[in-house]
Amino acid sequence: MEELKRFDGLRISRRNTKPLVSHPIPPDVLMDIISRLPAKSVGKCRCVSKLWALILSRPEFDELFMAKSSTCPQILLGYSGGELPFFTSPQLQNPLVASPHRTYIPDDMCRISGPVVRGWVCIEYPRDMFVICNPMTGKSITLPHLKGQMFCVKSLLGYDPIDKQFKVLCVAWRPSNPYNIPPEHYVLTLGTQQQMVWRTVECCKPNRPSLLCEDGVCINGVLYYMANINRYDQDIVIVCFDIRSEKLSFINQPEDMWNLSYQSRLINHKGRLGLIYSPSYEIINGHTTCFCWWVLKDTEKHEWTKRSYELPQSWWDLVGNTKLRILGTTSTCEIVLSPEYLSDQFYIVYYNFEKNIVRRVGVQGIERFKPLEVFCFLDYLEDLKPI
Amino acid sequence: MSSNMIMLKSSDGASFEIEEAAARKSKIIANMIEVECVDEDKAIPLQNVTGNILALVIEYCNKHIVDDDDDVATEEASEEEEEAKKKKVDDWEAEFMNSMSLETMFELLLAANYLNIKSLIDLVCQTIANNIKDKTPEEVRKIFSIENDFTPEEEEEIRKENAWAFG
Repeated sequence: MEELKRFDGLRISRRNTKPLVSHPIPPDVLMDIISRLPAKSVGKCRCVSKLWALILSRPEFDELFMAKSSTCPQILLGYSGGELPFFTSPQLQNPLVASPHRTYIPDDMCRISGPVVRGWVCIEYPRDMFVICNPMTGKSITLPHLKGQMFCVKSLLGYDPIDKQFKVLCVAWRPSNPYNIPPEHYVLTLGTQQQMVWRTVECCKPNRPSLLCEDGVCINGVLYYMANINRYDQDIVIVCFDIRSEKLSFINQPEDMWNLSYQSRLINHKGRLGLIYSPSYEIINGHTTCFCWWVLKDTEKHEWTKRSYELPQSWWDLVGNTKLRILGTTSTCEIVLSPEYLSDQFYIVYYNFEKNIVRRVGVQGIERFKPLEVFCFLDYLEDLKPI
Repeated sequence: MSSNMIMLKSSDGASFEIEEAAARKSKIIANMIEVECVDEDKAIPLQNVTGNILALVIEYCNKHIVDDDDDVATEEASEEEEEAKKKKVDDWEAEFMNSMSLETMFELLLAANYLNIKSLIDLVCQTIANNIKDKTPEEVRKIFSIENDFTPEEEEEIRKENAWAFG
């Protein structure tokens, strides 16, 4: 606020031609107006004048903008191989209109690791290199390498809304180790290269991040992901990492859950941890008949509430043989799914489990294509906060 | 619902009579009424608002006080009725904003800010935002009558920093 106090408003010079604005606009009113614009318009407004550049780069403005942008969550589409840039589209539009950004996932050895957090994603490069990037602004931070080799490494991005900090949890293990040896856990707070130092996180429970259900989710300052506790796929535990206190804890899987599959997915259901999977087949396509869903009722007692939903006949008509992935749920009680590969008529499937209705929404704006694997994420937010 | 009338006086000396319930849309005036510093025979002086702008503020407040009354009367209105009513308000607001120039909008915004009328601030901010959406920095400068005070080097630098926003 110090810098802002120097300005008592926007002085608009009166020229010979009649000015449109003849009174000073207080900075808070200006921030209110500009925070209602899409991020790209904000970027242009920062180039209007020195005063605007200053006001629109304040942390208060970034937070105000985030509050507005969180009312309009987006779907983020990314493609490995550098053929296509990242796209975003508001996730409750029909049709979905994808706007391209200037950033790419650089090559097909790279993939997005872990959840999308506000406007940032973690991209995993070969040789355990991780880059945190904002696909919209193209700003990125390369994480320092962990000491020691021969590890399998997984990194997950999280955000602590109280201290307003991004942190990365890194799990490292030797595949040759027996399962009863816990992996090593490290955490760092995102900042400048000098500030970023890996700190050790204590962990006494054997676990190994699941390769079947990789993505994880970050809800209210807690990062959740699934891990195996032995070499059997069905024996899993949900790892909870409190981003602020940097402590690990564990939640047992729902007792009546049979086994984990590649299509299982941890979700944020209205601020609570949820888990969706399809028990009938290993893959989700038109033959899938139902979804099972658990929502965590009591974290202390590891109590889950289960619901299952039989899919209507129209499911097969709309999905056919296309393989789908679960992306998550929306505030309007819909499970959202996307095909795994980009096609000429790319679409997103919404299954409203309260009304038992399936709809298929086309994505406009992605014209150049070839069958590429698509990384799709819900709840991407336009985020101007620099790290 | 109280039908007390109170008087408002603009900076250029124009007096307006307004229902107390409508005037209470302004947090500032509502506070004045609460602490009883409103003399029934005396007009409340509003130093920062001219008569033509105050007339618009009063038009807005009167319209919305009627809507609030409707809300109470039809508490059990169906979803469709609610939607129809919302559309009616939206249409009125669109028409209201359409009828004024950008300069008037800015003045109305400053008045709404001074009088602290949250819903009117929202409406005007959103309308101005719609006017500058997707505009280039040059176009925004024109709308706000702002001079470009960057040196060519500074401008190049800030454009580079925000290159993601162009194209």
